[in-house]
Amino acid sequence: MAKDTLIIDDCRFTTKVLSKVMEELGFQVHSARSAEEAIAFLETHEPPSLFLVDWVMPGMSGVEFVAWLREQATTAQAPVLMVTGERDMARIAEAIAIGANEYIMKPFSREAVEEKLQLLGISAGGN
Amino acid sequence: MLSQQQFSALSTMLKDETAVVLETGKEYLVESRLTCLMHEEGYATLSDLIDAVLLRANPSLNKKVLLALTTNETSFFRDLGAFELLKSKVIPEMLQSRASTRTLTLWSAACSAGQEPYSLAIALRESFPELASWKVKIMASDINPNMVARAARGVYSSLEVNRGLPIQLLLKHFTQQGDDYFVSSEIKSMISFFERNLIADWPPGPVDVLFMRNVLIYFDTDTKRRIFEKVKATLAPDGYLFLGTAETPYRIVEGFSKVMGASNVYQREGAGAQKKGEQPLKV
Repeated sequence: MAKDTLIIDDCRFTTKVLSKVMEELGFQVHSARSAEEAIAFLETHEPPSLFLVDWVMPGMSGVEFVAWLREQATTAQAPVLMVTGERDMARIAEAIAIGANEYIMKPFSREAVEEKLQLLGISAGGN
Repeated sequence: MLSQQQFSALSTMLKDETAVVLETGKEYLVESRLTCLMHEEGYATLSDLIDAVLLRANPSLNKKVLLALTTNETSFFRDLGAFELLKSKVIPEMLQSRASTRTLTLWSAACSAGQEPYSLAIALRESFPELASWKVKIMASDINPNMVARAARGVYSSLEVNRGLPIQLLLKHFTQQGDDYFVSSEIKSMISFFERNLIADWPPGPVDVLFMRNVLIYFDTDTKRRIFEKVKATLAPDGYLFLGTAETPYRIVEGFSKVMGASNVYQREGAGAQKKGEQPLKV
């Protein structure tokens, strides 16, 4: 059974591009336009195999959402790949310290996503 | 959506400024690479962004667009399996076999923009701190002097550091100035860069680990044979040759054995792998 991923991003174009990449890689894709929407999703669904999280969104930020994920028993260890326009290394270090496992800066290529998934040891069918 | 005229004009601009060819049918590439930039720069549509780029009124915007569109096939730690083998087998063997001389020579023979030699240096620094007291020489060469200069600068865009580089290693071994990411002087000091055509003279051996990946594919069979003969003359008797996934000495030259369990790593026939009782594939 294919693994699933939850994309949390308020940019519908990023969601569209990321969804296409992840679907082509064999993932079942869910999406949320905000962290709050993602939290509501998690109230009715099992946690996905991978979270793809933007940083700057209306309401709760992506990093706040990652901190929230880490406080939940079911998602404390869940793989989180941040996909965001934030490129400042001090800020990136902040996201990693809070609990993001990997990080992609926008704009990004399909290859970058694939390579980050390899670094995380995640594929749609295995692991 | 952008028009065919816009795509054509953008292709011409890209070719003029970077020599990269954006073929018809790659409109999806423009859309996927530029859509987020369009939002970040405050343009309502992709068409508006392209119009602004074609006017060449904002050099900073044009630089961002060209960077986003330039397909760079090179990545850090390209083919993770090769680097895993380097860490799990090749270097540990070398640590034993060269314990008396405490010297180790690696060569990235088609280094392009430098991601490969920097990945080698970072891998050694991260996984083998004991090598700090060894004489480790990492050579990095390319036929293109512009690429050699670029690699030696060790400056990369966000698009480039996105590719294959674990974020923890970016934070540890790079510094940032504006939109650019600079390899640390500590890592840069491990590498010597030089221009070299692989069909001309080679540096003196022996080379213990030779990365010559994704360059042979550009040569004909006779040239490949000449290069493989140079490899035999330069590679240490127990040294390792790392090739690209589509490259092999098979049916070109004899005298190499494929390392078992590795995607495309070879040793000279009769090298260390056999001594340890392993059965490398003869090619």
